[in-house]
Amino acid sequence: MQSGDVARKLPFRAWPAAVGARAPLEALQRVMFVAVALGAWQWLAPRLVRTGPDFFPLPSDVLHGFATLLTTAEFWTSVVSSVGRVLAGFAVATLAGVPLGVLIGASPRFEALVDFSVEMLRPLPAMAWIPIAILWFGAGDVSSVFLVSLGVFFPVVINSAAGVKATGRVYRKAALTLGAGPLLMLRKVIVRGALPYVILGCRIGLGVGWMVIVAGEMVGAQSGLGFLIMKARSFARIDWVVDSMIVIGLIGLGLDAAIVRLQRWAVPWWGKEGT
Amino acid sequence: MRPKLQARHVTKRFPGGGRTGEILALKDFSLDVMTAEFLVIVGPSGCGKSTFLNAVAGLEPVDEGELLMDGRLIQRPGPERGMCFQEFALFPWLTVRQNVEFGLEAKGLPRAERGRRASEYLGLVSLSGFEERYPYELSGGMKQRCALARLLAVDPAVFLMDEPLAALDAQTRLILQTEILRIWGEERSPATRKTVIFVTHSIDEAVFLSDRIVVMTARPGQVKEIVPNPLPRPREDRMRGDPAFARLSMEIWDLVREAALKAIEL
Repeated sequence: MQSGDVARKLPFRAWPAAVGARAPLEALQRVMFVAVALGAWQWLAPRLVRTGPDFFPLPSDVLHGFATLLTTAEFWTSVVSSVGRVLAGFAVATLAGVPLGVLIGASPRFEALVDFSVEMLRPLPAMAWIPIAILWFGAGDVSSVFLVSLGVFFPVVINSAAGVKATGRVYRKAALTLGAGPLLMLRKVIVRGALPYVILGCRIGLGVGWMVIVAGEMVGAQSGLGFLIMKARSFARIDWVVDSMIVIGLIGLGLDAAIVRLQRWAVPWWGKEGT
Repeated sequence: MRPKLQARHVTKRFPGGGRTGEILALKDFSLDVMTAEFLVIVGPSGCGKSTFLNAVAGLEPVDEGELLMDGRLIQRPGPERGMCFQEFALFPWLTVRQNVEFGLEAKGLPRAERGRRASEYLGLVSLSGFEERYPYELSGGMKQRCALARLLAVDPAVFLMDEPLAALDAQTRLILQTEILRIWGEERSPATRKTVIFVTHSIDEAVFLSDRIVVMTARPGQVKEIVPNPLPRPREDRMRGDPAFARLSMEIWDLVREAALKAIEL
């Protein structure tokens, strides 16, 4: 990207450059930390509790479990359906949540109108909707997508609204004196100014959505990683349970990293000085 | 010459919140600004200079009196009254070029024409080659030059400049003062010049730039005195050392001092 090239040439890179120089060491330390933790698990656990792939798997069991789990078709379809549901729910929630949040942020009157409702629904965990979701949509994709979108929706709304409010008034003044009409103001000032917060809301929301999907699938679906965990547990394949948990964690990490990349690309100016 | 802008008995109040009472920012403020004039307003902090500019821009309604441009009542902001801000107010999410194109897009110009004009005005303020940078990658002086290009591109009839150089270092300030006069068209015939209202704290700046200097009282802001500036145009840097320059600066300071002291005590 072009702006990235520009940034690389700039003189005020002392801090990130220093981090870059330390990066290999940090990566080594990170790997060693994980290795030590796994070693302690492998060595210490058998001395304290009953271990084994059917009850308390050791790292060796987990590794062994992967060898078999990764060859099953069910594992891969589970990954696909969980990720698909999260992305679908995320899409629904952002399509509805970003405009609503922008409206709340831009119009004090609209905020006064809906603030109470939003604030009352927001603290409800998405899980509280599981019984209703199953009743209305049955145990399946629609239920899961519904739950995910609820989880994603509120962080997106709250952050989008905050983003609009946080954009300096001076930009609106400048736009008005440059002759901007309402549409250009919305498009190029209000939404663009709020974008860092919108993306932040998406980042938080996607994390929540990923948590919701796994829990939701444990009770409200016949497929997906959450369902796989419950199924493996009933077959006493606790090694597969742990494998699935690790995969869930890694996918969550990957989704988050994707949003961070999106953020760097879409709002390269964010966090730099104001004007 | 006829007045381009007229303020007639303008009063502006800000409702006080909590502990502070109502603030009377402008009281019975009347002023005529002539076509093609470079008018500088000086006054102590909080005297209502910026309030007046915002009102002329149409960003703040006035409580009493009226503001006229070409004899017509000013009721809302418009591109015929362009504004320059102390904090530059460049959109941080747009590149230099996109910033300059903003007002052109508002005018509905086609993309190619916008690009052509943006390049032209960026050249005028010596920012060619920085088109694809973001504002955070520019120095303060470059930011204000970019903001100037953005303003010039929409070709306003009136320039409202709210301490545009106050955030810059002293040397950049001096350079940009000359730059602003050049862009304003000091070397061309007065007929081609725009009308400028320039607000500043700096007396030297007022003397260097102005055709007339309006000295305001401490709050509530009123016109204390209007001083014509006899220095010949085009202004040159060496004039800063002229006895006439020093005399006028001293005269203005004599007028401002009392109000400035009062403003500090407030």
